Amino acid sequence: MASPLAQFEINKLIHLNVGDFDISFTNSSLAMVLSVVFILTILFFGLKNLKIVPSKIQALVELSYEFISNMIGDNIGKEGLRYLPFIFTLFFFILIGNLVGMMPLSFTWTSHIIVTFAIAFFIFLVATFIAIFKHGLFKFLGFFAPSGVPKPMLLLLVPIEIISYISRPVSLSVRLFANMMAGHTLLKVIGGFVFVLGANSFIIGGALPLAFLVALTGLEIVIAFLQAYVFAILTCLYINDAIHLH
Amino acid sequence: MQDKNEELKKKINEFKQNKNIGFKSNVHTSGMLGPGLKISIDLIASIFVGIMIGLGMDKLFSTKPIFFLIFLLLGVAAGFVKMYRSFINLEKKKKK
Repeated sequence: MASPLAQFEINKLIHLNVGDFDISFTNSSLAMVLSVVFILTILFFGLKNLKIVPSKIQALVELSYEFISNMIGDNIGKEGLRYLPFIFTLFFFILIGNLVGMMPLSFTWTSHIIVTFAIAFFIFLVATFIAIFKHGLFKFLGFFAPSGVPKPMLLLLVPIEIISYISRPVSLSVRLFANMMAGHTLLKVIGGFVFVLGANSFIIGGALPLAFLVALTGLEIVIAFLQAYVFAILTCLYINDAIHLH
Repeated sequence: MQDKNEELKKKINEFKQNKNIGFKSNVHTSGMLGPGLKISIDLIASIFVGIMIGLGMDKLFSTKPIFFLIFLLLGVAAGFVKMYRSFINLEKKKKK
């Protein structure tokens, strides 16, 4: 039987090399393209025949827009609405990526740390640049020195603040990657139980792990939503920190 | 017909008063799973970053293991500071 980790293997579908760089089109890229296609299809049909009484799909698109704008309003405030396209894209790219991974025979691209880290690092750079452009380099560096602290203490506190700032992209990416990878591995392991127990006990023994598997699949879908939500809300918080340095 | 209209009006009014219905309130009831995961991974990530900075500086100045130990401790401290802050934020949210 295949290893529970075999599902995370990356296979090249189309071999491509530019110089020394391998930019092959892999199953991971295919899953990403698929998620983008899903999002664009939903948005396209949702915005096609706009009516005052929305159709189901139009209501979906409107609700999702409202959801993100509420999130930004709660966490950043009015000046955060400029970043709505960015956060909207981020949330739905990750959400649909997680859900595409839930389909049988597909691939979960959010379960690879290099992908999530690339996204998180980009967010980190964006937040840092917003802070520097909005407040200037000097005030940005002041962010690392908490006010009202005796000077000798700064020697200890500034490195701590810097470490906790740099750890943001790490924790952001590890959170998404670890959740998706652990969840999918667990599903595969329990799936193996269904097969093995069922084969050894005239199918009856497989019923319990199968019931468990169904429940876990539900949980995994909840986690897909939750992690996309957490990713988006933390992006909001980081941009909020960048806009209102304190 | 008149009855149905009245009923619908009543329902709409009820809905209007209860503005928190929908997406927003559902998310907040998702429980403590999210914050718990956030805090635990924050702690690990801070320690990891501290170790990496320490090892990098040791390599740069070939002073192994002085900077490693210093930044390990700083990383642990940063992790706890972050944990404390998330906790304070949680308390604030609860009071709201």
